[in-house]
Amino acid sequence: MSRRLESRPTRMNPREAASIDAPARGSVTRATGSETSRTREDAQRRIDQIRGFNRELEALAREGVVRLAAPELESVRAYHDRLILELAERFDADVDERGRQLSLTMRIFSVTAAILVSTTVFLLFYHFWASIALPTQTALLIGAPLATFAIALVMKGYDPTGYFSRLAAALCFSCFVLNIVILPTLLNLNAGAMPVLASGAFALVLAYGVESELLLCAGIIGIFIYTAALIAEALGAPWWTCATRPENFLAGSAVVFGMSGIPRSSDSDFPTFYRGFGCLGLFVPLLLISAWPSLSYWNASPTHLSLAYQALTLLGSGVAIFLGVTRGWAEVTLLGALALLSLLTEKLWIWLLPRLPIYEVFLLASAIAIAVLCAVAYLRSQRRPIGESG
Amino acid sequence: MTQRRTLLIVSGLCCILCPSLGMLAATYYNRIRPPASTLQMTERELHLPADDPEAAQNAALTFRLIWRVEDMGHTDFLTQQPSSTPVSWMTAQKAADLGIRSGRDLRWRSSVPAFLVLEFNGRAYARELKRACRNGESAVCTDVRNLESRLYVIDAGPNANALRQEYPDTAVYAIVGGIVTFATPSGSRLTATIGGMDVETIQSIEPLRSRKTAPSGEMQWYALSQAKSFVAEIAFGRRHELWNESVSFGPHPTAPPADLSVYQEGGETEINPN
Repeated sequence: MSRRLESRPTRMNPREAASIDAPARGSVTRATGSETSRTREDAQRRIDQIRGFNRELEALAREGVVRLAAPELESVRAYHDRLILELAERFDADVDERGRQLSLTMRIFSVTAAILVSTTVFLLFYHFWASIALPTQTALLIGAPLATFAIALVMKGYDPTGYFSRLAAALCFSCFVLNIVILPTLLNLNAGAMPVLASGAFALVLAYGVESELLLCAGIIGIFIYTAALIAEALGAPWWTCATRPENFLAGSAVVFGMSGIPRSSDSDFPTFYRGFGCLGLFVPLLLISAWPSLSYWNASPTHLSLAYQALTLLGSGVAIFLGVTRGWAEVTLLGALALLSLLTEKLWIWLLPRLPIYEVFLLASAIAIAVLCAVAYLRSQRRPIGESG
Repeated sequence: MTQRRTLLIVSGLCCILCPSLGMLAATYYNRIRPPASTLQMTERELHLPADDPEAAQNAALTFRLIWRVEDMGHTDFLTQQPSSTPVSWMTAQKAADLGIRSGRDLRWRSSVPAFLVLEFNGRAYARELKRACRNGESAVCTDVRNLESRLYVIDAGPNANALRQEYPDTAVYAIVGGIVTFATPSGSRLTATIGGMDVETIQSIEPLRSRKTAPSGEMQWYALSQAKSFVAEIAFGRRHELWNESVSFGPHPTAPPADLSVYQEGGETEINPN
């Protein structure tokens, strides 16, 4: 029984499995920062699995399906208790709902503190900034991200929770953005789109370094803006006009979606973010141009453009839903369905509102929603429960 | 140290140092002597945030360039924003050189990066002064003669060297990076406006830039600027970016406007066919 209980979650690789099982077999040593960031989520998943197993075992015993002998039950419980204790101590995982709530609170305060500390640093320097000579200002601007980067690296080594190293990384990123935004002004320099590229790249480096989703989002946004800026420049326009044409962001969408395939050393949610932003980068431009064809580069008639982009949205959402369902990418399915829904709502509104009274439009929309609900309910009822497949 | 940690440190340091050192190197290259041109400008061409009381306490000495384009419509040229005034010198050939051959090209780009020629106290200003004073002395004429900027954008092109050969006087003409914006406000006829310059603010030189007056805690330049008069030497470098070489506050003689004989009445705000 206990051997069966040691089976690992399917997504965990052998190296991580060995890392998780180690404390149950040997002495307890506190994980280093880098080790923690790789396996804390896995340890938390294992603890949740054990808690779920215990609840199910109690339910089975209550319903008389299985009743383990007292020594066996005691042996399993003792093993689990020891494992939970060691995982909690080594990886700082949460052992109960209260701990989980406290972790969530810490996460919220970590982000809040990052914003407040960054603002404090900015206001502190701003107060004295004008009276500082140019060479000192330049040195401060370059030195601040270097110093905070060192702090983030040191914290990463000693912070088992990761909250403080993420806070330091966020502060480092703020200092860096200040550097590349203010330095060109101080030096009367035209830096072009370079600050966007640099801040996006640095956000990604920090995101992977401290496993920060917030910085990953900043990095992905940097990729979107920079690829759009490159396209605008290639077409002969200034880089900052890239936002005026939604089509500029389609290439970034492909790049970001493709980055979800970057191999990761842990079961982080990074691929989910890449796929989610990739879908947003595809569907938002398509929907915008289908609604306002004048935003497109193409010099075709607005009606034809609108129809073409509606067809592309339909095709894209269909592909997204298919990929999402077959690959198990819930976020892709959700965003594909949302794009489809947005398109249908918009079209329903545009087509029917001039032709029907508003109450009939809503009646029709309600009927369509109920019909979709019934169709999905029918599909759900047709699915065979697990274990009946023969 | 693990390979992952080494990679993190190296990539992080590269991300921080490469852009910062790159900007310092670009600045050094831009300011290699001699400058491409040097213009002696005054409070008429360089704006100080001296009307802002907060600037007295916490703003380094920073000039903002005040430039104009000739208003050939000469209706309300003192109230119209320079960036919304169509330029008269944009010909179809110049527009084509910048990549705009017809209104169809605006679908791909309506704003185009270009090199702009700045003329200081030259023929464009002389023509504008003559236009303003053609009905004798008036408030507008006095303003243009004594207060308004004498810095005019007079040409644009894709090649800085070609423009420099056309405008060789480095004490009158400077070349900067900027944006030309095209539009078709009336049918298919193109018009062009100046969308701005790559660098329009100029941090001054130390120590005046950041020095504070000890007793009051005010910026020293702020107290000096109350005299409402200064002369600054603005240099333009190899990257067509500008910097402040020197600045002196106090009364200065007003330079006479350039040759007035070149004035031509009227003008065309739409792009000329030739």
